[in-house]
Amino acid sequence: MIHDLKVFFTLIAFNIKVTLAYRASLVISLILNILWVVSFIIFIEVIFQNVVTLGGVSKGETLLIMAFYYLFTNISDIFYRDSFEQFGEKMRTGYIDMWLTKPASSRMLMFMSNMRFDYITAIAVTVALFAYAFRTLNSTPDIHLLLFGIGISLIAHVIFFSVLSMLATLNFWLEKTDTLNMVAWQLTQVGRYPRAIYTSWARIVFTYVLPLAILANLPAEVALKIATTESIIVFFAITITLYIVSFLFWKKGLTRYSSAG
Amino acid sequence: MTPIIEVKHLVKKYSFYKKEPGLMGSIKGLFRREKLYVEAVKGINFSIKPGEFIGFVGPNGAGKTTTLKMLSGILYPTSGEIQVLGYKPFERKPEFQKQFSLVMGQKNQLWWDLPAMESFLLNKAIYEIPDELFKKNLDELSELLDIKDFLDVQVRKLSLGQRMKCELIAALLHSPKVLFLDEPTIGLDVVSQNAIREFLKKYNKEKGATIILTSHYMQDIRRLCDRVVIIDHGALLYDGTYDALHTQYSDSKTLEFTLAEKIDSKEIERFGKLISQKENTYTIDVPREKTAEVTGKILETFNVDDIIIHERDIEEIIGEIFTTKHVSNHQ
Repeated sequence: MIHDLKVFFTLIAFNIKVTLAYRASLVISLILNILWVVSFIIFIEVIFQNVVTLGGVSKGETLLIMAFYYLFTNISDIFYRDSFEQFGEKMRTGYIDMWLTKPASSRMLMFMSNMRFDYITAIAVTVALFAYAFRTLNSTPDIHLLLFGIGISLIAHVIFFSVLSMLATLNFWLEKTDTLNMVAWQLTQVGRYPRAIYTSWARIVFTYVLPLAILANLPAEVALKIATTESIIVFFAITITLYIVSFLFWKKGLTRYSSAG
Repeated sequence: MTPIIEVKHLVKKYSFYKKEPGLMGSIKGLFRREKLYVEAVKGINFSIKPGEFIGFVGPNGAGKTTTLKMLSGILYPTSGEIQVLGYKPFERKPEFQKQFSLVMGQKNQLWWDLPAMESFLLNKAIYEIPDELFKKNLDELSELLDIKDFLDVQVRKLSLGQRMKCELIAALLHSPKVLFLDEPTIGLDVVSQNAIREFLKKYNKEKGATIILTSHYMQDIRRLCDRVVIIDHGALLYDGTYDALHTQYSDSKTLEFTLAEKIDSKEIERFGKLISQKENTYTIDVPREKTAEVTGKILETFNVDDIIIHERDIEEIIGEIFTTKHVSNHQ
């Protein structure tokens, strides 16, 4: 575990060096992120010009959920999105062979070797969104609750990583699951909006079966001190279960790996 | 001496779907397709002692790389037993992985966008190489391979030969006891090939590392390997020394001689089978055990300007082994 952590931090340093080798993409990434976030803020502003609440959730609360959502996607974009998107191709062409011989967590090497620190500028934009959300809420954030919410958001990555890992593992049977990956990323959009807007069955599915609605909602609820103890316990239970299941599934998948010529 | 690698009845089967050509074939494949099986490795057995340098030879698709991938834990065997350094490779235990290395001529582990040195530092963290050992090995290996000046150049800007040298350094920084090399000299120019060969020979002798090398270049096998293992269609056809290949499987030698004057070829055919004639130079095939006797008779009978005795081309012998499927063990 400690060794894998050391390797993880080395991979971070390594990928930062790769990013700094191509400086122009940092600037382009910053501009695109600003445009992306601003467009969604405008979208929310337009909605709340016509309604007072969205499923009982106020504009400030909706903006806070959005901020947590962007924080979530920023981190997934930086640390593992590219690796998951490239995994299918690398598996089919045998380019994962060398990683399988290394004495470190094979999942970490497969899915976290290609980090994108050119997206780091997006975090600055997300911080601005947090500030705007709290300004709209007309309240000063409780720093402890905010940090707890951010902590929950980071742990939520274990859920999403586990879901993506299971989809990636299907490549060992199906050989090509690029569409499934795309669907998974699109489904994270579910977490962008308050859970309350979904019908009961959808809320159950996206909370307990494919827990994508809680990726941003629960951290926001924690920061706003409206999360229930039950929801936090369920969250940790889902996290641990999904991690174990995805790990065992990955091990099984590796026995089917056939490399390439 | 206890073998460092032991393989018993090793089998690897792949399944794949047959795809008919053309658009209609692809559409048909959506509804019905034929599943086929291929046995890439068919129950091979061999063992390797510590410090040996073994060459795996075989045509494309013979099963050499598949065998290497099972030995390094990349592939899960269908059946059979493998032990490398006392471990089962497919269990991928970190204690095992820290003791071996794999270099593939057609795949690299270095990162394209950064200098090779950065990949070395990443390997240092992954293999938990102590600082002192890392520096010592890096200095020694970069000196031996004469690549010191290129360690800080982006890998994508290095030549193929330079990249392969850096790949070898990356593979050897953690001082592995076992080294698997899959066609390490493929695509390299003659100078680079010679440099890599000399380096591997020296490394094997000085460090006592056990090396398995697959290659299509017989020069690699001839100059480096103590033992040759010939594989074809997944089956082990020969396992023995390089010299024994000649004595056991080549029952003739070739005599090439130049006479002072041209003579009737029928005169030459009294001594052996005439293979070629160019002006006054004749090449004949004679039985191995009669080589000395025939050479003496030719020297007595004719006015000879020059005479050379050749062993049969090793590629030819191996090609014959593939066709006649000898199974032999000469250790």
